[in-house]
Amino acid sequence: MTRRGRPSDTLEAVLVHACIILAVCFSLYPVLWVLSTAFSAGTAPERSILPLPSTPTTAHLVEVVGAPSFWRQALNSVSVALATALVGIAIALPTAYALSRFSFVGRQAGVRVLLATQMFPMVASAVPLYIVLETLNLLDTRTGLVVCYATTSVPFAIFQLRGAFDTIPKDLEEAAMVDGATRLQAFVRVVLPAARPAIAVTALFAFMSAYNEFILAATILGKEEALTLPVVLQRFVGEHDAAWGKFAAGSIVVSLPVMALFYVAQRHLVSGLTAGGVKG
Amino acid sequence: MARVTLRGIEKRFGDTVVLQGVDIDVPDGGFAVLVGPSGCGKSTLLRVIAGLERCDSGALRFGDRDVTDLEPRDRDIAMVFQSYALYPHLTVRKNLAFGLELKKTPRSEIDSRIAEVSLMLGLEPLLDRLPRQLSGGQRQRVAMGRAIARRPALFLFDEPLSNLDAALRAQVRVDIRKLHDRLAATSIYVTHDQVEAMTLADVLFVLNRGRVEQAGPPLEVFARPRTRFVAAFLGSPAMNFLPARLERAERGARVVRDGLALDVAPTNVDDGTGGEVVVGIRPHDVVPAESGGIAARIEVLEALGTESFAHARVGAEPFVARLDGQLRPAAGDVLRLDVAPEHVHVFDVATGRALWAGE
Ligand SMILES: Nc1ncnc2c1ncn2[C@@H]1O[C@H](COP(=O)(O)OP(=O)(O)O)[C@@H](O)[C@H]1O
Ligand SMILES: [Mg+2]
Repeated sequence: MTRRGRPSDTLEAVLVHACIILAVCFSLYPVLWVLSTAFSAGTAPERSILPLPSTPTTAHLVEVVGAPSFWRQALNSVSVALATALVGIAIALPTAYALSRFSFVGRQAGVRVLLATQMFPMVASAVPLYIVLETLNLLDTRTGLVVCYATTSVPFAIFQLRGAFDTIPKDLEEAAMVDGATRLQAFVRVVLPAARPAIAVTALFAFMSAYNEFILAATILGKEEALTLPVVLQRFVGEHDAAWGKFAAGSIVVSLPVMALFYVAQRHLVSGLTAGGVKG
Repeated sequence: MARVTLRGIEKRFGDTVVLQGVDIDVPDGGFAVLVGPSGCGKSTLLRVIAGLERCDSGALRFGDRDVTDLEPRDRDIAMVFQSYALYPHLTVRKNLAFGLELKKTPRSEIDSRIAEVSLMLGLEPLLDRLPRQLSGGQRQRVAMGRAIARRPALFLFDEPLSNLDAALRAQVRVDIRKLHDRLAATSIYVTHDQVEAMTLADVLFVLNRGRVEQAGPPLEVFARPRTRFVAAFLGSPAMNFLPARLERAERGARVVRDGLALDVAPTNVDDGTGGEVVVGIRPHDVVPAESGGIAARIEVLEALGTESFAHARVGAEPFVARLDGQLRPAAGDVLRLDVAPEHVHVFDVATGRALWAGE
């Protein structure tokens, strides 16, 4: 496979790499600025071209992480996002499977209604949701937030997973059923594993959108120890003082779990697990 | 081991009638082939036998068991799918073990079955691979192995060779027949390929529009097609059909038309009166003869070496004749051909039935 030596190939390689390096620099530049600001003394970003801190310090980081309710708030964020993803997947799996495999009365109508709910941004229902949660005594609770987030994560997951199930050949389940499986066994032992990449991606997206969500969280949450991290971050750059250093340091801390998740999940993100099961 | 009996199987999808009263008998240990053109309901029938579809009416028996209302898992069958349907997330070994594990077969028994099947099909080097790491032919063998490992009473095959290339197909066809003889289980095999049908079957069922058009040992069906459909479906190149008039003579009958006058064996006609009929003659049943009853004007000669196919006209009708390779008539030549009386098939114009089969 060594193709070195041919001038046209070398030129091609150089051009390709130049483009990639340019794209990487372009997308990394702002991130580097965040890093630089996080580790610079002072409250405002420095004015220079290169994102290098002139007086490096970890003061902002220590201040953010050392805040009395920080770990409590981080736990809020992670548990709310995790619960949202789990609830979404748990409800969506059987629903999506039914929509993909069976025809029943109200199937089309159900899909359309689900689709319709997706047309409104969640902010549009912020006020009614607030009132509902207030009535249920769920304001300032993680449960309340999960319920709100599930209203979008469930339909989203249903559509994702239905698409995934549609691509899994029926033959696989039928083979399993001929081999002695009940339909439930065929679902659990054949369909779910074949859909694993799609389930992982769907869960990841549900997790991330809940983890990053700000507007609804800011509406529903008020008490310091109930906040999620995006709301905490926003409060660093309030009306009176803009602590950009703390904001940047906080952003980095907030990003870490998501980066870790992506790293762990990338094996599943590479699709193609179903390839090779059927056809030659 | 099981005898398979189907009685009056009917199946509709909405308004589409797919199976209309199918009767099938397969003896214990027999190899039955269901053959027919695409869309005639072969797969549907096989899926009804497997229990993957419920029939709207009719009854299914395996041996003395009525299985009409049983789930697939309770029927003691194994099926090889056209797509192979290997479990993509499981290694070959786990694919082979899947059905046995569901039945809670002891580990040692599973291992010995896997060893036996892999030896039989040459799967040992593949056992730890995933299906996507296999070639088409290897996947096909794993699919067969998965069925064999279960030791079912009945094997079902739905066009298992259609995704293989021609050379491999010919080889696997022979392998399948060998395996069947060795395992002595009953097999039902669906195909649209007449070569597979002819070579594999103990008993052949020709399906057309959801009906069994003719059943019997393949050579018998080939020699005495009951309908024009069966006659046209089996044999390559296909049988020639020519409109003609049936005339009754003192002894037997004759068919006559422009460019053709042939004696017909008494077994090939009923004892009614004469009239308009369709004559069927296979390309392979003609022999050149000075006094032959067919006058064929050659249009194109396809020479294949050992044999040639002459595309000709008898009167205004197209006619294909198989000739020996040495014979090289030129375009425009008129060739006289003879046909043995038992090879002259006569069909009713309206119903397409062979005259001997009656109404
Ligand atoms: N699930 C189904 N719903 C509706 N029509 C079907 C279904 N399965 C098969 N058919 C129809 O039944 C007919 C026979 O199909 P099939 O048994 O697959 O034919 P074959 O295997 O002989 O090619 C076809 O016309 C097909 O369109
Ligand atoms: Mg088919």
